[in-house]
Amino acid sequence: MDGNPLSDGYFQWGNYGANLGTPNPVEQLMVADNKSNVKRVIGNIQFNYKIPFIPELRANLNLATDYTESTGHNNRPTTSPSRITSPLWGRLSDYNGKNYNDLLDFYLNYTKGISQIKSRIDATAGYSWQHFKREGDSYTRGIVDAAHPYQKTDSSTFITENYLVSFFGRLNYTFSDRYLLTLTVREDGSSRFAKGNQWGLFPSAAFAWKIKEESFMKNVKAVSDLKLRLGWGVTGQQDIGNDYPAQAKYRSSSPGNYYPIGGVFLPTLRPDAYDPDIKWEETTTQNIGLDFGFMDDRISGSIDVYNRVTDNLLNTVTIPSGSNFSNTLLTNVGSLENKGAEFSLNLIPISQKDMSLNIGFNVTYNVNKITKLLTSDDPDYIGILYGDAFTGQKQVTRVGYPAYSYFLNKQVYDANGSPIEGMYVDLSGKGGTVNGDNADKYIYKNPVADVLLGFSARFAYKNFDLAASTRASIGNYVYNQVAAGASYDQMWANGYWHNQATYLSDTKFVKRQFTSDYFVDNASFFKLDNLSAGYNFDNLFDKMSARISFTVQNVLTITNYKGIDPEVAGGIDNNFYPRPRTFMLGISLSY
Amino acid sequence: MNKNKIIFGILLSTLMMTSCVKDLDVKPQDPNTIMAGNLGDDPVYMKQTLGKIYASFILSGQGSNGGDDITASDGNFFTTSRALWNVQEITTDEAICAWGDVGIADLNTQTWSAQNPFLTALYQRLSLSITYANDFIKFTNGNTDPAVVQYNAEARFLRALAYSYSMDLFGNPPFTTDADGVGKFYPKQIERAKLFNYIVSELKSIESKLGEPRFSYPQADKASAWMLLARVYLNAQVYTGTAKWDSCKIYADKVIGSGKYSLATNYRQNFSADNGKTNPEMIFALEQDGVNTQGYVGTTFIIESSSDAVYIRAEDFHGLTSNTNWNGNRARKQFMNVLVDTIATYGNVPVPANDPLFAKSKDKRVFLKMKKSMDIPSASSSGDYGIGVYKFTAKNTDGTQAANYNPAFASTDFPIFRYADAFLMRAEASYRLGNIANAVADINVIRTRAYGNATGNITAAQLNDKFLLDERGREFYYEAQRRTDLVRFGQFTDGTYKWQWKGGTFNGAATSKHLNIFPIPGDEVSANPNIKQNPGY
Repeated sequence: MDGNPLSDGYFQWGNYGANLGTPNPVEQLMVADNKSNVKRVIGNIQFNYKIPFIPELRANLNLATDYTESTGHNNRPTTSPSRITSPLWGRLSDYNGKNYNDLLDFYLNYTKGISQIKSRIDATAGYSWQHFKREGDSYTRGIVDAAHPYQKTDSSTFITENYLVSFFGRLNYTFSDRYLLTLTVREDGSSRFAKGNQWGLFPSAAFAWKIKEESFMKNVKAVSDLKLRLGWGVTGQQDIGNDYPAQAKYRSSSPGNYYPIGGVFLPTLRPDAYDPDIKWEETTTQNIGLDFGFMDDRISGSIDVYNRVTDNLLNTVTIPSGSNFSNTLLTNVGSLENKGAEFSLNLIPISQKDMSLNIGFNVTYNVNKITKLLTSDDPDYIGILYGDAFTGQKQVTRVGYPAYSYFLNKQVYDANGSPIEGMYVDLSGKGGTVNGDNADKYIYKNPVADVLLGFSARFAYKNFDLAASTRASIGNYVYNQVAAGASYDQMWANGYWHNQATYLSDTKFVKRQFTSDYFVDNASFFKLDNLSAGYNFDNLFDKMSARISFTVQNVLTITNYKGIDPEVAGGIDNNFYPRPRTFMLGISLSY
Repeated sequence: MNKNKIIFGILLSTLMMTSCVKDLDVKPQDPNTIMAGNLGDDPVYMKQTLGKIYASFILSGQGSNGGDDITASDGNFFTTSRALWNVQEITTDEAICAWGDVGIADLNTQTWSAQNPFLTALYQRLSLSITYANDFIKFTNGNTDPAVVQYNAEARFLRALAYSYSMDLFGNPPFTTDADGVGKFYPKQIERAKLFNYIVSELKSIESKLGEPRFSYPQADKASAWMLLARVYLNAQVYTGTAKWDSCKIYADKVIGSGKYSLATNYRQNFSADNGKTNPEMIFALEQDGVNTQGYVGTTFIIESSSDAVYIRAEDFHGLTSNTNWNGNRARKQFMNVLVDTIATYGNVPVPANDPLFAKSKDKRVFLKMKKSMDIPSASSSGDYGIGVYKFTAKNTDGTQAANYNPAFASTDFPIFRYADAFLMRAEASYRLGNIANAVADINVIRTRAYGNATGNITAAQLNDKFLLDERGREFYYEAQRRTDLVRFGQFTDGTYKWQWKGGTFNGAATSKHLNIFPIPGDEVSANPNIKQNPGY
């Protein structure tokens, strides 16, 4: 209790512990004043012109714009315990932003059927122009009053834009309604790259064979659909979050980051790291697939197998010291391989006038592996580490392993199977401090599931219907940072008592042990996401019909994971709040 | 009619395509960004790019306009000022840090590896300061404007300073000069002895081009170069195998002979908010200012990491009231005995509990406070154990509030070269050259200031290796010099001097000699095939 009527009893949950804590929800609800005003204009105009003397030729011009303007503030009073205001008392923060997205798209399309040779041609050629621009500013300062006369102010502005220009062509050729060939080629230009590297050429080819249409299949009644697909294509990636990675430029510092030259404090000018040779990342995909249907499509589905290789991977990597203006550089480095298979099946066991049942099932399997990461090929390269100074580096992207694999110390357990605080296997064999040292860590599991399963069903009887959808994820692992953040020495800190997560009674750790693999759990799960029932009233009055429905979302989760929710984006679980279970009653009327 | 329409359409499309393609040559419009080609447009840009080289030693980066200079898991943690302080202090008897952050415990116990994040960041940041300097030197080479010639020399001084740290800490760093470009290449490694020669020749070559002593604090001047020359010569035997005591003395003489400096009457002024421009003793320091040069770095870090909520409250001791009392660093018991000389002060009995601030000590350089116990029960135990240090403060020497006061950031500059060092370096050189009388005289200049009178002065009979090393500890503790001094006196690793938790044991143990040089970071060895790891790692 700090004597403040607004905060008494609520703000003992201060946002201490750096990046670990979940923000105080009462504080966020009661004292945060976070408002923004957004105006948005979306415009789209399309011209479609049929060339009079060539009826098969059509011209299309599409112009679109999307403009957003926002102004707002995010303020906290001086009583706020929030860490975000530190080292301020209270905070006043104003911001403005403008977002422009403009598009121009022009193409010619030529379609012609040539019945003499059982062929059909559909050809398109055109170009598109896109402009993305963002600009904005912010001004943040503390609330100056008698008790706090000294406050920090911070302001910043930014403008950033990029252009994408593409020339493209596509040819669809259909022979005999059975053989389909699609060829495309794109020449994409991005302003993000330096002259000479701006353009990338991306071809693709796809072939489909409608086997069912063949004479030998026509009479096979049991098979209602059968189609084989083959594809190969190259795509380009330039969406790297930095609009000027290739340009040599200097950046001015914001207030509070000045240095005196000639006795006057001046903003400093820093050369930014840049790669004049940066270019498009290229992904080559090969896939083979089969679509099938049996018994009038009462059983249908598809199987796909793919191999995707990404080269010239755009990544921020550690570079040799002294070679550029930072320790890391956004550049083309490395290769990545994804292999996988997808299978889907749709069943219609009941299809009658008054009653129907649809069942859908799908399974996907994917493995990813980094095959190259550095400009030099050092087999001992530790990889790109993720984490922070307070909780340690716990994930790594390394050659030969899946991206974002956990990178931790191997916990030593006592005779009862309880973890021994701070004791880890000396994997390097070098002795010394094992705790937290990267040389003693090992790669243990990763956050991505090996297999994803989906299952859904819909049943209808007369006016009544019932639907459910479920999912399962197998082989996804989670690092439970809520558990890792609990320790006895955290119970009393900064002058008051803190609640600790109940995991503490398992670990009994006096100090937090963030780099222990003890906190990585198998988070495979089965979830019943959605369950709904509805009833339709026809011809209620005269011409009116109505539907009443009841839906439950997040119905059920079955998992061995001890945290609140096994679905954790990125794999580091900081979550204190359960996912809400939602009950919805819906009534809709229509005339 | 239709034909005309089509022709018009084709013309329009061609025009659009051409202009669209030209759009790809985009230039940044951000007002905070200046293209490399426009650097010559305004003379102030030159001062600002020079300012950046200085700032790169102390601050984390450009603030909200451009973020940190390096990619690291924390901006402030991994600045040069903080990482340098850590690797020079908590690896020694002077300090031990209580925090559990990765890499701290390894430094405390001399069990670091090539993966240590502080070593990695320091290595990368020193190289980055050199790269910034190379860029500036290249840009200003050939410019005959006297002001620019001087800026160019300052940048060369800063490059030599960064190289001197790399040479001292890592031995054999990558070597680039203004002749190298920027992009993707593998810099060559340079041997320690060759780097020594390069640093010396650079400093001698810029000596005449730098400003006169104190021409514009905190910019580097002639005396800064003399001090750096004296310091590298002082350690020449470590770097090259050949001692250069005479050369060390020559440059210490130049500083003292310049007549531009004097010792601050009050030793504490060197560690107070008014330790810069108005301090006659400060030769070169990194500027810190509560308003203009902010960050949890440099002296703010030293002050806050050494404060705690019970024994040394930053609010009371230092006038810092925001985000205070990080409770990390404190001194080890063995260093207390060096500084306080407890046997002389208290006799052969434990220091009485009613004198936690060592008030009986006659040496006025003692800014220590007893905590829960003088012994530190484990290498990473709470900051409440050990000997608290409050030498640096955010207040003025007289206890008043600093100009440009800020409750979170000290305005106390981070000292690199103090005038006192010229005396102690010259004393050591004279002692090694056999001129004991001169050595004693220089030491007594420092002792007289420390005691306020001649009662602390020593005689030639009292002077020996141990006394010199101890006296440097007493004068320069917590100023990021200790490791270098211990290495030079052969006591950092395998010597006879052991302190609590050295080598990971309570009573301290000798460690392997290869630890006198830090490892090249694993990140660097992986990224640059030209770089060989240091022996023993």
